[in-house]
Amino acid sequence: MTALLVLDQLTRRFGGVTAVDSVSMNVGAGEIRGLIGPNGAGKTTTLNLISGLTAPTSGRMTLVEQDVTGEAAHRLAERGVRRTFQNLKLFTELTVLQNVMIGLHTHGKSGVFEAILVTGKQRREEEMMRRDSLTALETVGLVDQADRPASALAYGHRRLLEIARAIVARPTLLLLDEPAAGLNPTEAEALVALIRRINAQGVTVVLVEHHMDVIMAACSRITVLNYGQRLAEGTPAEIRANESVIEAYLGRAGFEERIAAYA
Amino acid sequence: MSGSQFIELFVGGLAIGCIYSLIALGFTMIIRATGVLHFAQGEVVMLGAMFGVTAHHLLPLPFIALLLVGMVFGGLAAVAIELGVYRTLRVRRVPLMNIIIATVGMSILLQNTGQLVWGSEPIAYPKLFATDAYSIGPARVAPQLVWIIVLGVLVMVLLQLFLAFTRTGRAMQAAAQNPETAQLMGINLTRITAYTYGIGGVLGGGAGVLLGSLFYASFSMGFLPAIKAFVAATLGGLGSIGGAMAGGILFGLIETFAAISISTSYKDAVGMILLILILLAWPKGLVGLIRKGR
Amino acid sequence: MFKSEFPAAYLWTARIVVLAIFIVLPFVYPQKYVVHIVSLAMIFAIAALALQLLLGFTGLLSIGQAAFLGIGAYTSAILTTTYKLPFEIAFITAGLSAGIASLTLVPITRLRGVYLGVATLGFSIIVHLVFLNEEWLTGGSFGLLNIPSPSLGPWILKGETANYLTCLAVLVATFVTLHRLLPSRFGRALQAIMLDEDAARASGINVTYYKSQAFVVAAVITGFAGSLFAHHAHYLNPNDFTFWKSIEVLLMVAVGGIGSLAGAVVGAFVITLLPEYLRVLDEYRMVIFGAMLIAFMGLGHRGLAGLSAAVAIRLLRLRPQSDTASRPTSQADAVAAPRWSRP
Repeated sequence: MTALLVLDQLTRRFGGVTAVDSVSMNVGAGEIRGLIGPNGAGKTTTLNLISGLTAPTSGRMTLVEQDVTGEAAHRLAERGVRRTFQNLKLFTELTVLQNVMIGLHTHGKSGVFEAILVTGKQRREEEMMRRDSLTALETVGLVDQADRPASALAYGHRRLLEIARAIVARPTLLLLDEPAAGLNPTEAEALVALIRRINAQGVTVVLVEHHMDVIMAACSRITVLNYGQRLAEGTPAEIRANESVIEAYLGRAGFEERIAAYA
Repeated sequence: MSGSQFIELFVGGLAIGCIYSLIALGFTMIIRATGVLHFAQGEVVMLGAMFGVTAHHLLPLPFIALLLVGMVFGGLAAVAIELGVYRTLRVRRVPLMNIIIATVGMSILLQNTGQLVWGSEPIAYPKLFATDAYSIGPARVAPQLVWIIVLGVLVMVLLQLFLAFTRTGRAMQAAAQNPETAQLMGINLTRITAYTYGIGGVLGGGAGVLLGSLFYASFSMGFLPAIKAFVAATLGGLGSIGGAMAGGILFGLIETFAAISISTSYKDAVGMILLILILLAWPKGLVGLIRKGR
Repeated sequence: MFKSEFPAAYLWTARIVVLAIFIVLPFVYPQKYVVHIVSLAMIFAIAALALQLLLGFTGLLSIGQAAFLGIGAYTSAILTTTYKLPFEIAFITAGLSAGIASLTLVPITRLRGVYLGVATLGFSIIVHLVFLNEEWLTGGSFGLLNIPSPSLGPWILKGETANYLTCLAVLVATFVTLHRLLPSRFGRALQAIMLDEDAARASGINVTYYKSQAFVVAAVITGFAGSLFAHHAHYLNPNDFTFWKSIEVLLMVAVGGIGSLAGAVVGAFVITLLPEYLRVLDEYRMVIFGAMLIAFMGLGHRGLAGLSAAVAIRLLRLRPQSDTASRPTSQADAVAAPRWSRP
C-alpha cells in the first residue's frame, strides 16, 4: 500500500503546552485509520494539523508524496483533504443543499462577472454542483431534506450533513472528528456502514473517535495518542491487546468488559 | 526642538492624553462587560462638561467640586440611559449590533438635546487657575495642564483600587471575564451592567469637565474626542484596562507632537494611520503584543 | 440573510409594483423638491446595498463607505469639469477608482469584528482629511462647483426628472446584480465566510481573497453612487463625506434589516427621508430622529424589512414556506448576535 499521508515528527506547541509531540504516522491509500486516545491526547490538534487549520511548530507533512507542510487549510482542501468537526460547523442559516454545494466550491470557477452576467458556463456549473450535491446527500440519506434550513435538522442528521459536505468533492483524504458523538447505537451502526461505503469509493479515512464500537468495527489500523505522543499503532486486534494502551486509555476492567463483547 | 519646547509639548500631550484615557476607559469597560461599542460616550463627556459649567454659574465652586459634579452627573446620566434604554432592548433579545446602533441613536438624541438645553454657542469655563504659569526647568507650563494630569491620574488610580479591592469592583471584573459563571456565583448581571455604565459615565463626565476647562463646553464637544479615545482604546487593546490608559496617553502625546511636524490639518490622520498600522501588526492592539507569550 | 418566506410569485409582483410606482412618481409628484430628495434616497440606497453585501452577506463591518462615495464623487466631478470627459466615462472611472482605492484595505480584511470597523472608520477619516486639505484637487472646503448633469451619448439628462430616472436605473441594476450574486458560487462563498470561517476554509475557500473581493465590489458600487451624487448635487463639499456619512450608511442597513437587499433600500429611504419629514418639528427634529432610531433597533436584526414581511404574511394569511418561522425566534436572533461578540 502506498503511503497517502505521511506525518514526520509533527509537533505543535501552544505557548507552554505541547499538544502534539513529534508524532509520526503513515496512512496508506484506501485505509480507514483510527486515531484514538484519552481526552487531551492531541487527536483534534492532529486533525487540525493535517487539515491545515493549524500550522505545525516543527516537523513535516507529505500528501501523495508532495510536501505540504504548513500549507493553508483552503490549499489542502483543494488538494483533496476534507474534514468534519467535533463541534459541528454547519452553515446554519443556509439550506442543507447549499451547505453541501459549498463543499464543491473548489470544483467551480465562476466568479463575480459570471454570476452577474449569468453566462451559460455559470449555469452549467451551477447545475453540475446541484446534481453532485444531491448525489452526496443521497449517499448519506438526507436528500429529502435538501431544501430545509440546516438549523432545522435533528442532531444526528446534522452530523450526516457535515459528512455530505466533506465528501461531495470526492476527497482523497477524509478526516472525521468524532462523527459518532451523541449518536445512539442504531445511528452509530449506520455511520459505520456509511464510512465503509465512502471508503469503498476510494476515499482514505482518518477517524477520530471515542466510540470504541465504531473504531473497532470500521478501522483497518489504529494509531493511539497519549499526551501528544504516539503511544502505539497496529490492527484493532493488536491495539486491544496492547498493555500500554489499556493502561493509558481504557482502564483494565472496563476494557475487558468491552473486549468480551467482541470475542 | 529645544528642551523647554519638548517639556511644554510633553505636558500638553500628557494632559490631553489623560483626558483621552478617561474616556477610553469608559469605552473599554463597557465593551468588556457587554460587547457594546458605546457611541454615546462622547455625549456623556459633553453632559459632564455642561453640568459642571452650569453648576459653576449657580454657585462659584472650586475646580475640584466642578469635577465632582461632572463625574456624578455623568455617571447618573449613563446609568439612566442604560437602565432606561439599553436594558429595555436587551430584554427584547435584540442582537448586539442593534444595541450598538441604538447607542448611535442615543448619541444623536443627546447631542441635539444638549443643543436645545444649552444653546449652540460654546460656553467658556471659568478661569479657575492662577494665571501664572508653573516653571518646570526652563519650560513654562499652564497650571491647568498640570491639574488635569494630576486629577486624571488620581481618578485612574482610584478606579484601579476600586476594581481590585471592592466587592462591586471585583464582581465587575468577574462579570467582564465570564458572565455566565459570574451569574452562577450569584452576581446580579443587571446591577453590574448598570455599575459598568455608571463608572464609564463617571470617567466620561470627569473627562468632560477637564476637557471643558481646557477649551470650552459645547453640545458637540464630545464627539471627536470620543472617536479619538475609542481609537486609543483600540490601540491599547480593547478589553484591557491598562491598554485603555496607555493607549489614551500615547495617543495624546503622539497627536501633540505630530501637530508640530505634520501640518495641523492632518493631525487627526496621524492617530488613524497609527491605529491601522498597529492593528495590521497586532490585530488585537498593543495588548496583544505584550501578551504574545501566553 | 434570512430565507424569504414568500413564494416567488408574490415577491416578483411586489417588486414590479414598487418599480412601477417609482417610475411614475416624478410625473405624479413633479415638485422639484420631492423628485430631488427621492433621487438622493436612491443614491444612498445604492451605497446601502453595497454595505449590505459586506455586512449582511460577508459579515464585514465597514464604517468607511463614505470614503468610496467621496472618491467616486470627486473622480467623476473632476473628470467632467476639468477634463471635460463625457459622463459615461466619468461614471465608470468613478467606480473603478473607488475599487482600486479599496485595494489598500486588503491587508485590513483579516481584522475581525469591531477592529475591522474601527480600521475602516479610520480610513474614512483619513480620506475625508485628504478631500479637505488637497485644495488643488478637490477645491477643499470651497468645494467643487458646476458639475454637469449626467448624459447618455448625445443626450444631456438635464433636469430633476431625467436625473431621477438615471439614479433609478442604476439602483435597479445594482439590485439585480446583487440579487444574482447571492445565490452564485461567489455569493455562497461570502455567506460561508460569514457563518463559519473555519468551515469555509476547510471547504477550500480562500477567505482573504473573497473578503477582499467583497470589499472591492462594494467599493465599486459605492463609487458609482458617488458619481451619481456629484452629478445630482452639481456641487461637492468635503463635508458630504465625513465619517458621519459612513455611520449613516451603516444606520440605513441596520434599520432596514441586516441581510435583506430590500431592507437596505428601505433603510436608505428612511434615513434620508425621515429627517425631511421631521422638519415640521423644527429644533426637535434630530432629537426625535435619534429616538426613532433607538425604537427601530427594537425590531431585532430583521429591521423594517422583517417587520414589513411579518405584517404582509399576516395580511395575506400566508403560512411560512421554510421551517424558519416568520416570528423572529430567539435562536435566529442569537445566531446573529455571537458574530459581534466581545473582543
